[in-house]
Amino acid sequence: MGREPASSEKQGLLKVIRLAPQFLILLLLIFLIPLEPTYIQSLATKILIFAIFAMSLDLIIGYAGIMSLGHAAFFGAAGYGAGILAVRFSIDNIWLGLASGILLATFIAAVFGIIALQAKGIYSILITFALGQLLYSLATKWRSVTNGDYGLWGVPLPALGLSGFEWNGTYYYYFVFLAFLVCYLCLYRLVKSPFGKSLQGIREGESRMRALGYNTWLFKYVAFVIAGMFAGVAGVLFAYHSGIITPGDLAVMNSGFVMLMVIAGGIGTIYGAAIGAALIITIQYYAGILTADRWPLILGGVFVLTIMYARAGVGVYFYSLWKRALVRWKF
Amino acid sequence: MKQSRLLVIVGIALLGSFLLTGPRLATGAQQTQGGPIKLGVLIDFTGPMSFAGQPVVDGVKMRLEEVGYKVAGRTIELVVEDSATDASIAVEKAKKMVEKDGVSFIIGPMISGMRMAVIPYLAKQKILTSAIHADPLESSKFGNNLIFPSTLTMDSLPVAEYASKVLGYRTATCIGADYNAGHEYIDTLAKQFESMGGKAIQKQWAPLGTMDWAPYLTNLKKTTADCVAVWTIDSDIVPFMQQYKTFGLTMPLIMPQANVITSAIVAEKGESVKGIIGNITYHWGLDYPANKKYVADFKARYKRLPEHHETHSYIITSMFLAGLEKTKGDTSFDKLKKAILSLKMDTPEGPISIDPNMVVRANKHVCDIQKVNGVWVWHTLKTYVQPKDPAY
Amino acid sequence: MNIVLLNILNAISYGAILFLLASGFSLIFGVMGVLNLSHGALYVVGAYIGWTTAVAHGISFWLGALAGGLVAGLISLIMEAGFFRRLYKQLNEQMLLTFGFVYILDNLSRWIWGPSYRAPFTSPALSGSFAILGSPYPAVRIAIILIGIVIAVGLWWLQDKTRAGAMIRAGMDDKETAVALGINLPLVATVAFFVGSFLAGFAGVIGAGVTGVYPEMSMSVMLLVLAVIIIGGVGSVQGTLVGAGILGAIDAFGKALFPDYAMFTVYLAMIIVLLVKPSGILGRQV
Repeated sequence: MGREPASSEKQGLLKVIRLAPQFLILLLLIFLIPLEPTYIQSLATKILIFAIFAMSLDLIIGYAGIMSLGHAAFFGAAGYGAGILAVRFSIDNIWLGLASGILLATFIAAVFGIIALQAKGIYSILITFALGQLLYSLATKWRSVTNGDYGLWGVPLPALGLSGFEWNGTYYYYFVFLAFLVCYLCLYRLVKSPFGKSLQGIREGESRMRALGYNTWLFKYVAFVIAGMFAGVAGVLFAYHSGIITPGDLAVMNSGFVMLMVIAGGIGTIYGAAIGAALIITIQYYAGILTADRWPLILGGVFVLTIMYARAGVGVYFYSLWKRALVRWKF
Repeated sequence: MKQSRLLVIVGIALLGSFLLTGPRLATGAQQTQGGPIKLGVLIDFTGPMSFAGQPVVDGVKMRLEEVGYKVAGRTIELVVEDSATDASIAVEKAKKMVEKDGVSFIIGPMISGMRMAVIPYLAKQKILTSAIHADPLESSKFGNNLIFPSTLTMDSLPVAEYASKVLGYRTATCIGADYNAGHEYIDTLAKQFESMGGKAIQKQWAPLGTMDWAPYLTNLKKTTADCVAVWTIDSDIVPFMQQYKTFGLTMPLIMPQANVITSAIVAEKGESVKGIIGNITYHWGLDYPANKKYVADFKARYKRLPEHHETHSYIITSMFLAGLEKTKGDTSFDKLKKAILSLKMDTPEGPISIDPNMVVRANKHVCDIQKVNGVWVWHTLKTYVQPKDPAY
Repeated sequence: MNIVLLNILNAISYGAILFLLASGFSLIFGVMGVLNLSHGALYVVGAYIGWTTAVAHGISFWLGALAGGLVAGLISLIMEAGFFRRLYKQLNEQMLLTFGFVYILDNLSRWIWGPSYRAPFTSPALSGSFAILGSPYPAVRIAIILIGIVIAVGLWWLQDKTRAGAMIRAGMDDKETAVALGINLPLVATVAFFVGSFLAGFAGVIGAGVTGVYPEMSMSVMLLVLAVIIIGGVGSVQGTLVGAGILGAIDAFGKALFPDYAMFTVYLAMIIVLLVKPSGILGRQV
């Protein structure tokens, strides 16, 4: 570039400026959202939950290259795990709830993964769809445990374990925000690691990777299970957030809904999925308020437009704009 | 120098995002004494239950128009949101309606499962709500739920009694939709039937969206019972009835919560669905003075005959307004609840009163389908006057 | 009537409806490689058009069926020309696009026709029962079986005995060679998409004689189509027949023998097939 060597102070400043969007978003999330009315905080909580859910799906779609229409199965299963523990067994401990939900989701992902990876290409959509629907019909039929299609209601926010602590909307928002940060950092590190790079290599050319001696099946399987685990985190947080978990949360419509988020935000970039979640949920919410009965047209329209004209994803698009601006302003 | 520039940038960014997040005015808490009263309607416009959305709103609007959107000197504003047949969305919208719009009363959501997700939140916020098509008795424990038109028990008890005591049926074979509502209605009916000395000899369950009833009807052909007890949703019951006839089955049919077969469907498909004796909360032919006027007004306004969705929301709105007349426009929870509990009204469904646990006592009708003046209609066989749920 | 015979007829008539539903989807998937998730919505739109024609305006039922097919085909042309063509060869994007179309088509149908249930309607000639071995069996079901047979034979003839069919099969098997041989693949794809969607709309009107019409049907129909495809395999008439037949049998006998586990048996069958032969029982190795 031909610039004179910058002082370390200047370099530090440059780094901060380059990270300005991330900074702003963090500031927004940490300081500004909690000042909003509780129903807005509630919406922000839902966005963060689905951001975790979407990021986990991106690991499968964007990195391992497996199209899945059954990801909500892990989300919902974890929600039921946590919900059943709280409602049927009256165990009032959020850590146990998280553990049971995540374990259940991971277990199911481990089983489903073996079946799902049998299929090649577009058939993985069919298999994952069938598996997800199987779990959905189980949730609907097993009324004694899951309370059937009404959903398991009355899921409380279990105790944190600190004496004298009482949950409220804002505290839960911070709890979910922390969970989101942890998940984001984990997934970010994962995809930047050699494992993540190998996954991308598999997505771009599996036969080549196999020729190089990689056990591609194992890589994809591990990614599938890890993704299921993170979807489980989101599922538990969701059950506590809504106070109810329904079979619909496991079903193909929910799987499609989260896939919308990943696509809209940008496949293959973990942050893209998070932005996609914010975008889709916000649009659904405000479109629903704008027109109580025609909002799916708006949502469907936005989605179609995104695929046609911003195929890399809206999140990726804006981030690339920012990167170009940085270059132009010589940052 | 650089640092202060950085601080300025950060400061501007903070201000910018502050402005972007929108004005955070003190919206929210309902105004109990002055200003407009907000009435909320939370109902499904999208999803499998979307057939209820517009009718429910129509009923509310008609009542509000009758009073010119005013009560006790205060104006009434209607806040309508889509619950999207999704419990978590229903909770979200309820939060928005309470905290942003400041509603004093929420009609809906409709489905029991979704109600059980929303009622606890509303109870904590001290906001009254009403069921549109009955609720389980369990929901009265929250103290803010108007159980209209009655508990779920009343959607089957009258017809169980009619089948058992009036028609003298001793055995019944049952078919229900294989989901919560179906099980509730059919299991409850079977239990009630058996408590009166009958016997439910068989139960079959069909998944929702069953287009092809052939397997179940084939089983029925092998069965002999005094009657068939059936319940499923409108899109499944009509094919069921048509296929029932074309399979040549002749056992009489009884049906709890028969309102799913709307008057419109009866008018169009009367020949196919006749033979059902159903538990009906409302049909437009009900012989009450309040109903005659209501039906005429409704038909003039909407150019169609009212079904139970719009009539229920109409009556609930009437109760809300009547309660406010009593409190002189005060919407505070305790006062309004007390006022509503003390109501006795004549409605298109007959006389109503309310028990201390907020369960409404309304008439129930056992009806069959007949051709009257060339039109197929529900026709009342017996009226049960404000029956009480034996469970309390 | 012999109960077994009754169940067999039930299985066949239900299978016939499924076949009508799925044959169009299989054609589209086989030729274009696109999973048209809005296929169910097209079925519903066709049914509504048929309803408007036959019930609201009292015009001939068969014309209604034709109209239903044509409108569905027209919608597919718009989808293809306006959207799919610009995403040439991007199969995942095209499938996702159809998912977006589901939201749009579903809501548009609700807007135009309202969300209420429309009772089953059919040609007046078919509204009674035929006596089979002394017991009444619904005429409309027999008609569905006959129509299913006619269409199956027609499609099979098209697939195996005509040049157009050969071109389609070539396109499915080996795109590069097909193009090299001078086959106008984009045209073939468009035609296949139109025909497949026409079949969906047409099936909607015919099937409405048993089911009626309501908006949510698009979702349940789509699930059934996917089940048929998964089990029977994609890209051939025989595969769709096998899938529809097996599903019909599972439905009829499963409900008769294991009434509590009806839906399970369907999903289990899907998974078993996917494990043993992922491309379906008679599927082409795509």
